[in-house]
Amino acid sequence: MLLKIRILSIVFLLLFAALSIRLFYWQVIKRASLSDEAKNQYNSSQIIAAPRGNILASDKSFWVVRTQAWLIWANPRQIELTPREISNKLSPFFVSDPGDAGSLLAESQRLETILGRGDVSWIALKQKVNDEVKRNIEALNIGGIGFDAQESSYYPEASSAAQILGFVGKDEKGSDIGYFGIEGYYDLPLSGKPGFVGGQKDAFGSPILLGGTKEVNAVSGVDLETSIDKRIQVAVEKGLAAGIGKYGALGGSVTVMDPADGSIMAMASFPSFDPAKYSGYSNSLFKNPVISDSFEPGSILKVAVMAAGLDAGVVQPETSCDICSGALKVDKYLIKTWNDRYHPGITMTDVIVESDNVGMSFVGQKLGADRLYDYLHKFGIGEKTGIDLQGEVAPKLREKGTWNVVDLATASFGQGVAVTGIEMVRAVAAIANGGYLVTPKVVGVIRSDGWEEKVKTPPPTRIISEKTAREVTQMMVEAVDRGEAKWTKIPGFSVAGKTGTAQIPVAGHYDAANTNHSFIGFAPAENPKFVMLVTLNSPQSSPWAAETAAPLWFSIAKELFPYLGVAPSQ
Amino acid sequence: MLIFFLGAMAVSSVLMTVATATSGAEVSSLQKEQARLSDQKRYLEGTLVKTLSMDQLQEKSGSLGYVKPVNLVYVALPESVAKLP
Repeated sequence: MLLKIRILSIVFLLLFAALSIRLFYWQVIKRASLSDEAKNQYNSSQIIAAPRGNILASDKSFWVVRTQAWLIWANPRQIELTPREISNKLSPFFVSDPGDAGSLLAESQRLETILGRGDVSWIALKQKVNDEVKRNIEALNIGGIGFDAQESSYYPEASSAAQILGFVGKDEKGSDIGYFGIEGYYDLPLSGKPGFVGGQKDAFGSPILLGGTKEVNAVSGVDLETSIDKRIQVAVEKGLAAGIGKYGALGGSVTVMDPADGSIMAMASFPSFDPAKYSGYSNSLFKNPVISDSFEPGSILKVAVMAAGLDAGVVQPETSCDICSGALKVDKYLIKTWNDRYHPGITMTDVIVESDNVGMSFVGQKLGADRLYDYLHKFGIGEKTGIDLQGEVAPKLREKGTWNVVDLATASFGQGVAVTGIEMVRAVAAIANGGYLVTPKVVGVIRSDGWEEKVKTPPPTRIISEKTAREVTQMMVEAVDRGEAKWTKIPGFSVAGKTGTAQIPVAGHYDAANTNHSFIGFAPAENPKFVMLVTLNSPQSSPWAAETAAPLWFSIAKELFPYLGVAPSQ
Repeated sequence: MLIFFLGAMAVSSVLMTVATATSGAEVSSLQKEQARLSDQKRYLEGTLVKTLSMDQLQEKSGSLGYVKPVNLVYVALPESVAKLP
């Protein structure tokens, strides 16, 4: 009996020892990993996405609004149908035109391939599908298919203003990021700051309130109110598209700006792209030619050079040119007028009216290279304007002090100098507004919940006297009334403008067949409401801007006059 | 006395756990409702924006009989002149 009790005691002792060792193993040795595992079961953390800000037009309607979208995913381990069956059911929802057999087949094959991967437990099938598609797919009740909320950008005006707006793409981590235009320039304030919520949850996913929560609120991205006017933008785009077709141009651009404060009212270029389907377009279409492409301005630069001559006091509007009786020999080159007609003793006003290259060389000679350089620099030629759009470039002027006589002569009528469209608009705006160089801007107000702030720009700086601006304006009015483009002007309206037909530099020489055409002007000439630049690339219908860019300028201006309250002066 | 006190503690502990769990479920339900309403708000905003696009407005104004003027006529008001005494 005693033996049995002893044996039983030893067994119990051994069992107790084994239990103690096992408990020691779980509670001491494996404590950390088990504790982590438990925490993983009841602790939850979630990133709170910050909604991206919207982009608004000048009337506070939407250019871009952020909407609810869905990421559709699949868990191949849970799907009940075969990959082919699922791909056949889903592919019609994932193509833009289900009637297009080719794209439907390609999408179906893509889905079947990725669904066939059995080694993963989560596969993204389609990004950013809309609510309607989500509801239709939900109705199919396919096991193993799920939905995660995402944000998408909706463009009420479709591809309108695409090169101003830019688009939202992905960075290398797969996060949303703005590219080009406003989306690129203002990416940080538009993005906001994501938040975080952490706490404990029970087996049903309900929060355990005693466990405490940690929460950092998301900061929403700000809304941007632009100065882009929808009516003007649409009118400009329609006019430009019609003009490109009518004059057989490869492309073109139109920029409309308020010369008083530099607010951009419209900016359009063709060819362009659809920001909602940006991946289907060539990268070359994403950049905005008005701020990213440079060109030789040709005769439209003459107004800035003439303003320099008048402001420096080296010429007056009535000064007569004493070298204008024929072609001008400069070094080994012969400078001619565009029509090879010469006007002995022509006045400076008529130099602008006739767009006389020899007359402009006369002004250039009077100014001298250094002073011309200084004035071009004052007009902002050769430097970025500071416009709030991503992708601005500024071709540099040839360095001061290195200009020879040929450089001086050609620059005075707009050759051998490269500018961007926005540089030219700003330079002519300085003539329109009485002599002040302004900073072009697109976004006027930044606002968030109950808070708004005006976007500050550098104050305008005076670059020429008011008298000079008035005199050049009068010359530009005369150019419209009496120049080559007089046939296209709208009777009764006071418009100041200048045509430009520029050769295209190609690999060290000028293109013999093609030219770029432009017309820059403002209206009304006194106290102008807008300054507008029209450029056409290689139009085929005529070699002269007076027959292409100028009529296009006036056809668009005709739409703008009643809207902006510009009435005839006569 | 001690048994009564321990019993009260145990009952209150159970009640508190039940109340907390109920509150947690309510919070979870409210969070889901908030998410649903937020989604619905975004959906309605999106729908509203779509109906206010320039194309849609142009279509609607056309169907209501509004047409864009083809020619504008500007009327100059006669300038006032001094009357003879």
